[in-house]
Amino acid sequence: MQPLYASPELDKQIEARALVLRNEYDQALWKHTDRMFAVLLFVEWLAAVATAVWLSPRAWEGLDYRIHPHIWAAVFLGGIIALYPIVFVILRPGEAITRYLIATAQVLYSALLIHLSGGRIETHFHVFVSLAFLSFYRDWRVLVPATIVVALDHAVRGTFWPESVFGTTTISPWRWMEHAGWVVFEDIILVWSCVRGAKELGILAMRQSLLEATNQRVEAEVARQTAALEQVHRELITTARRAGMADIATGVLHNVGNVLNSVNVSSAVIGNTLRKLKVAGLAKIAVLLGEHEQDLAAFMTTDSRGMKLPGFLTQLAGHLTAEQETALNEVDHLQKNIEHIKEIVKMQQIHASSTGFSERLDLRELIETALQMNMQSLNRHAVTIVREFQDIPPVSADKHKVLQILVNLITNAKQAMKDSPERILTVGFLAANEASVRIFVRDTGCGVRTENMTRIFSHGFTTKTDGHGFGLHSSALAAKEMKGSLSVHSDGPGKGAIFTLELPVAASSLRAA
Amino acid sequence: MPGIQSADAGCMAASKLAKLATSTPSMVIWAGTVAIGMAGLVHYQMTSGASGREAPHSWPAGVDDIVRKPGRLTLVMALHPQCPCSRASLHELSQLMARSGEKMDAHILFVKSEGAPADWCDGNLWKQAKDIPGVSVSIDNDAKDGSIFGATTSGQVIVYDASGTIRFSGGITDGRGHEGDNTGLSAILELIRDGKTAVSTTPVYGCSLGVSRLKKQ
Repeated sequence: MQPLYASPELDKQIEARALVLRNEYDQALWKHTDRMFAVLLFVEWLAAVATAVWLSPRAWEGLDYRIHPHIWAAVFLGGIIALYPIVFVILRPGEAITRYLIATAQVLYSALLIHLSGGRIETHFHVFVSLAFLSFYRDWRVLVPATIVVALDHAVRGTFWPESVFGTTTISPWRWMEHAGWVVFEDIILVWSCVRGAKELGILAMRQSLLEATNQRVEAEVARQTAALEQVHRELITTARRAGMADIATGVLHNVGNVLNSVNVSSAVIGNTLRKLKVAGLAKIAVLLGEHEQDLAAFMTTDSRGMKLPGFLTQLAGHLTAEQETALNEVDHLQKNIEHIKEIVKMQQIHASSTGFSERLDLRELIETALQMNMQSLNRHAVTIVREFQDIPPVSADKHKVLQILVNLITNAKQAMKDSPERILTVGFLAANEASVRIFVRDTGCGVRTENMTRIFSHGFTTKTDGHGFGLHSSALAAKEMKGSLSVHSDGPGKGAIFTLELPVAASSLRAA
Repeated sequence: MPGIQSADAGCMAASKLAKLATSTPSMVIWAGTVAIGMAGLVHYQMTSGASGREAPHSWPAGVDDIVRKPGRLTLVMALHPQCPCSRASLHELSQLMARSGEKMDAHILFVKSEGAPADWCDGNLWKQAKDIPGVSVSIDNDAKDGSIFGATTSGQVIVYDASGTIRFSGGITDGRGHEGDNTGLSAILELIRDGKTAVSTTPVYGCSLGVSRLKKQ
């Protein structure tokens, strides 16, 4: 045999596997054919009974009758012939003895049916059809018992009842030889066919074995490549994770940057307030009072400057109190902003561990905080703020994520209205349905082009000259993390835009409903 | 565990039964049973009917329903109208008539025993007989003509030559209800062809006509 593979060891393995496969094929074929014959024999049994009932129901003697012996033969003899091989098919499928018994039973059925049909020549076809069916086994040996049974039948009957098998001895004494000749002729063809079929099974098994060996090699190669790919994948994940962390860090810086604007404004306001404090006037009063320390009463009652001093002090106290209040307000804002920055930084840590803290939100207060953070800037840009708050069910979400989103949206709205003649910022919320609420930020700014509606939330997308494309992207991600969504609608350029943050209502509220 | 033990015992019994069913002795028993059954079937097939009186040596008087044409062979067949074995006899008669070269007339007597219902003869055999060319058919009430010819078994054939002398009496099948070449058929064909035959009688395979019982009554 030609070597199949370069390795003799592998060749041996392939040949061994081919033998196993060949055995499996043979078993599958034999068992399948066994089952086919089991059904066939059973059907032949029924057919034999039906034939006897149809052709020879009664044996007569004048007007008297009895059940024809053919019926008893069909029922009992036919049953014995058919059922015994069927038992073998059930108990010993695929075994050689089962095949041989089936072959024997099948030609016995030929004999039985020939008897029952009154020796009709057409029924003799059953013999030849049966031999052809037996060749389904692709085992030429099954033809041997079948042929032996035919030969025995002729031999025994030829000995004891010669007329029953050879017909009349006067006309065709060698007729039986002609019958046997046709059987042998068919046998020769069928044996050749069986041998060829078996050989083809062997070839098939060898091809299958080769295919399996090739498959194994391919699978090993695929496994190797897969392992390499997995390594690359792991590296990619690490890289992506780093990139993701950088992305998150960028988002955080963006948000911190937003808040720092407010911090900057607040600190500027505090600085201005402190600078404008009328402490110089207070110092002058102190000097004046020091000069007249000895005659303070006369100075206060007779000197025109001393007489003005109480009023001046009252006025100065009022100024100082007002400015102190302004400074304290800004310090308060400053503290809130710094607190927000602290939370943003904390969020980065939470982000890194993929956890979030949900709490019952007071959306009204949250919106006010977000507005307050931008208030100086909004006032500077002369933006009119409109609030539209409706009754909504409670919402549970990460407070600082929502605040971050609102600050982003308000900042964007303010910037979008920079060149607009009318600057109205509408902020509010309403119930979308039983399961969610909508928080919206509407502006009368430059609007959004249709083609940008979906891209606007993409990472790095921006229409601002100094933008980075992180704000809306990180806001949309944050909304998604809270099982909500962020969407935009605009009637087109110059027609303003409305951003809607949809959040699920608190689970307890849903249960109560 | 009693349950498990009884299940194990059941399995073992089933396994033993299966082993026994497919053992060599069981195969021998099966083969023997089948051989006996087949032998019984062949025996039944090869058992001829009871022989009655010998047929008259010369064409009998008093047979009104059959017209014997001078110079030709005349075949008379007696049939039981319901006998399933006689289908083969009619088949062979049909073969015979086809090969006789119109040298022979045939007549079939459907024997109607006393007390038989009116439609006793209506059936497949009657139709089959009527369809054979050159064959006449009649109902033999109370087996009158059948008795004259000494017929006792369905399918019995009697052949008279041109002079009215009997030349053959017997069956034209080689088994009960079995078609195919047979001694009786060959003998009659020889008679037609050569005017003589070495075989003048063969066994008759078929149902009893009940003629002997009628006679006793």
